[in-house]
Amino acid sequence: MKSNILKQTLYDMKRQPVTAAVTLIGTALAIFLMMTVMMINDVKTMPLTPESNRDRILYGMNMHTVSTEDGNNSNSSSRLSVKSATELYGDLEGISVWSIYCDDNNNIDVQATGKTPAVLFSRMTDDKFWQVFDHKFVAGRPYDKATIDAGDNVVVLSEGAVREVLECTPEEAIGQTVKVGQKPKTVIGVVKDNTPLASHAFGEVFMPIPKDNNMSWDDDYFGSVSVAMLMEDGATYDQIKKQVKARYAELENNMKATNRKPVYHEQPYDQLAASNAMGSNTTPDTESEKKKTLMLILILLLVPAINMSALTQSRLKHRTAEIGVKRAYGATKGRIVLELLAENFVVTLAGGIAGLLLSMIGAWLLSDTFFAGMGDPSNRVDINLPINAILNWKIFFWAVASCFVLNLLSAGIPAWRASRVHPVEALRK
Amino acid sequence: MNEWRANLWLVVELMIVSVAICYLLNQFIMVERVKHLPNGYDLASTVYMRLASMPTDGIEFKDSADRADSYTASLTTLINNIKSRPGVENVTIGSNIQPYNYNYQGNALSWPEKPDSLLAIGNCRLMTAGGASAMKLKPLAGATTTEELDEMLAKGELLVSRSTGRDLMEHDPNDYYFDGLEGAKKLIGQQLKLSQNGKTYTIGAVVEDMRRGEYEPAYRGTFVIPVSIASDERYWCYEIIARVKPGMVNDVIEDFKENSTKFYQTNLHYVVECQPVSLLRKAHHLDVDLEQRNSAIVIGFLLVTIFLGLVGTFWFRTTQRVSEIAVRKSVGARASDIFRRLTAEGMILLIAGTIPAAVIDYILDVKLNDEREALDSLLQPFGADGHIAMCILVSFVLMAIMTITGIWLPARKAMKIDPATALHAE
Amino acid sequence: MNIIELNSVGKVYRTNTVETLALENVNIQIAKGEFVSIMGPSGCGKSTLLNVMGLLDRPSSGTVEIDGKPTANLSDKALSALRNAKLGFVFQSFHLIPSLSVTDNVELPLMYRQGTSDKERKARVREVIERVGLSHRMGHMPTQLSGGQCQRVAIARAIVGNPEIIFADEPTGNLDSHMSAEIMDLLKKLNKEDGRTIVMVTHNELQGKETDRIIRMFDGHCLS
Repeated sequence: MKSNILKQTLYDMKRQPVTAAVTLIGTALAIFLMMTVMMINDVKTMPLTPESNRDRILYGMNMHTVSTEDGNNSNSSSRLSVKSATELYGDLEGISVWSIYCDDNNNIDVQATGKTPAVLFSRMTDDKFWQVFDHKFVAGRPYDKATIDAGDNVVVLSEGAVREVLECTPEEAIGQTVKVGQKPKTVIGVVKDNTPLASHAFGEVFMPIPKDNNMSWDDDYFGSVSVAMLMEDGATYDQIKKQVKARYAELENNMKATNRKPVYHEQPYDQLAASNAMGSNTTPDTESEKKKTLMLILILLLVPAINMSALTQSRLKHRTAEIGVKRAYGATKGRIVLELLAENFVVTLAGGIAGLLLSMIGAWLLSDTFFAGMGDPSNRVDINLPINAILNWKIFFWAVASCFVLNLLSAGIPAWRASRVHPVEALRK
Repeated sequence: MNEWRANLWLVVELMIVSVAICYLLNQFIMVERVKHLPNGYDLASTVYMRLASMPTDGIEFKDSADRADSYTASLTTLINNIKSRPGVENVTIGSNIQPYNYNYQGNALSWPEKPDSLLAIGNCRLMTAGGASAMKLKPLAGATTTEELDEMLAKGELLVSRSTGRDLMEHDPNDYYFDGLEGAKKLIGQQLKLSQNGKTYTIGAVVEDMRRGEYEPAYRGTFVIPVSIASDERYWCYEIIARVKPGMVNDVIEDFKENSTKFYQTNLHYVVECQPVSLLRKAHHLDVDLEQRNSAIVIGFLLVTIFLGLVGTFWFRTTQRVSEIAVRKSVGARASDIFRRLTAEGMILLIAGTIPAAVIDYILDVKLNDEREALDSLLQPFGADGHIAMCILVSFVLMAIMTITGIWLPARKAMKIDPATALHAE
Repeated sequence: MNIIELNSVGKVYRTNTVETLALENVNIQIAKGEFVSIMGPSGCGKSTLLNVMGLLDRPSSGTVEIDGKPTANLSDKALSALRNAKLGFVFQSFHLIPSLSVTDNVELPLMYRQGTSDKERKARVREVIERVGLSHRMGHMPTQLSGGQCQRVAIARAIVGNPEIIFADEPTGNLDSHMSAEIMDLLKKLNKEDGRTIVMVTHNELQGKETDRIIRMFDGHCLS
């Protein structure tokens, strides 16, 4: 049976090269665009080193307060301070480790003695940052609590930063002094170059948040840090959310004297919500983003499907006699539909694979264009696309699934109609 | 019967594609339209420098006056140094002057004696005299040249922009295209208090709005606030914009790399980074640019699909109708007659698809506009009234071109057939 | 025992404007192992009768019994299964599937049958192709065969499923006299040697005379 379907498909393609070409190219284009949309969408949530635990990391990102006085509609929002971060997200049940760090990358000047300064992406973090995120150290070590408590001026650089600033190997860089923001610091560790697509953990320069520094600009709840938490196995997002909500209620109580109250905004965010967070005073709208993508995918599938449907319809008109014979010899209507769908699926799959390959090659070769601006709007650093962003089962599965749907949409109705043709009618010619 | 059904498919397809193209065009054109609104600066040949304070660990000041003097002297030296670098024409130092970001320093102007009387709200851009020339601000009323504007800044006069005048005029608060120039003119010469620092300024002139990038309309007007290096306002200022002779942007960047410690650094200040403003502009516009690019790609894809579909369908149809074409030819129809016939058929199909599409387009547009107003989203420009008709027209024309090409290929093949062969084959 | 039994079968074709009476009150019994030919002028309802007997078309009135079983209430699925198990068809224009080789064409009915292994199928196909004398053409495509060879392939396809009844609708209509004789011999062999019931529509009086019985049709009625 399988071989017959292949034979039939090849025969059809030979007989009608134009329609075959149209079907193939149409499918390839549709799948190409769809998979590209999907890949670009996927990197927002899929595990990417150093955010390998994306499915378990939660983010407490912002603080937003409004006035409780009548007629005063002032509201303030920003990142957290160490104090508010700890009060809201510290030591929650079901969290194995939590880190206070700057979620925003800052441009900072880094200079080795006698060399030109470079402006690089920097982040201030605590020691647990290195446990929540899995940066790979190629030399040296991360800073630990003891180092921070001792007030040592240390810095961790990325391989690229070492190359650019110190022009030496990672091993040679350890122990050297560089001026970061004109302040001398000792390099204690070098991490592998990481992708800006992992926007929470990405960086070229990492420095400890000094001990007892609230990282605040109002000496209170607002500041420049966020919290990243790693959920324990078995802990649920809802369970964590519930606790944080309770902490917000507590905070509201504590803030009464200031005539202000915090706005919850459904924190902490999971990866999807965090990737949709726009500004510190809004709740991420994951739904409308999803809807938009879905609409786009629908159009990308529907239009070529209808397009090919008209072609399939005409093509099947040529084969009514054959369908009549099959019906006479005992093929049921359902069987005819299945056969025709299977034949068409071969073509769709061929086009689909071509489209998928095209999108994979495109994403790999043109990753800087494909993923432009995601994580690094200045497009300065290399995207360092991890291979699993392109080669993974999910992408493959969706490509085949899309082919399947495309096939059903484009051949379903014509096949159904062809199977309904009365065998006597079909065999008359 | 079958042909009729195939035609129906084609019409449905044309309809869906028409809606999709029209929707994308609508978004596309709206964004492009905002891009071409007037903008109050020209930063094509400028360089942006970010300033930072040196660590003061080793420095001791006698008292606060000494400290202030030292900082003033340091900044003055730095600015003079930069001004004297080859290629540099004008330099200004300020706060919130690099417009390619979404920073908003909102502030209000009011009558000095009545602090509650909000006259106008705007985004504050603080700059030293020279800024008008460095950023090529555009005077609209009260001054005619950037030099005049700079003189006003030097005198400590505040400049307001076109849209700050909206608040003094009757207008729909959601209409971000409303021209507030007449209202703004009324402010010239007035003494008004700025809520931020409580200082009273004389309003010198009206300038064009300094929008936050090119893809955003002027939601608010701009206040250009004069800054003196000798005052405490200098602590706010860490942005430098330098106008450079045309074609010399890269020379200045190179100069910075080579001489950063010599000319771009004092005991109290240093320039952290130096880059062409054009680069910042590009980065700031990247996401919208990408979205525009993607829209264009999807439109292109849909057109290609339509094209392929039409070629396929008409190819099939003409091969089915070789005998009909042959009969027509044998009774004297010319090639052009046949082509005209096929094209007319295609056009009828296209029009049949476009009519329901236009209705959907219109409803969609009205709905989306409502949604946009409800969201009051900062990034989504609206006010598309009327131009949906243009979008429908443009998508029709685009699809008509594809249709005619899609028909022309198979028709040309059909017309070449010798009538005798065709009839025999049948 | 009658393998086919038609009781007062009528068939009316309706379009929007016209109503055509194709069969009227037809009563036919065909015994197991009989070779029957149906003759009559064009448009007299021969093919309609064959289609009704072959369960390809349902009668407008009356009943059709195959092997003693009434078929009126059978679903499309059950009819398909019945056709597959008991009936074989040979058509005037062969109706070979152009994309499939001789072997694949012959194998077709077995594809729609449950529970035959690949090996069994292949052996059976080989057997029937040998039977119709085309073992040297097994891998050929239909376009590479002569008309007579095509019809022999079609006959092989008709018998591959070991059906009890073969319906042949003008099987020699598109063939020259020499090839026609070959096909008739083959059908007679299938009738005599295998004991298959054959119902054949023909225009050819001589061929009719070679069969056990002739049913003559005129204007939708059976004359004998």
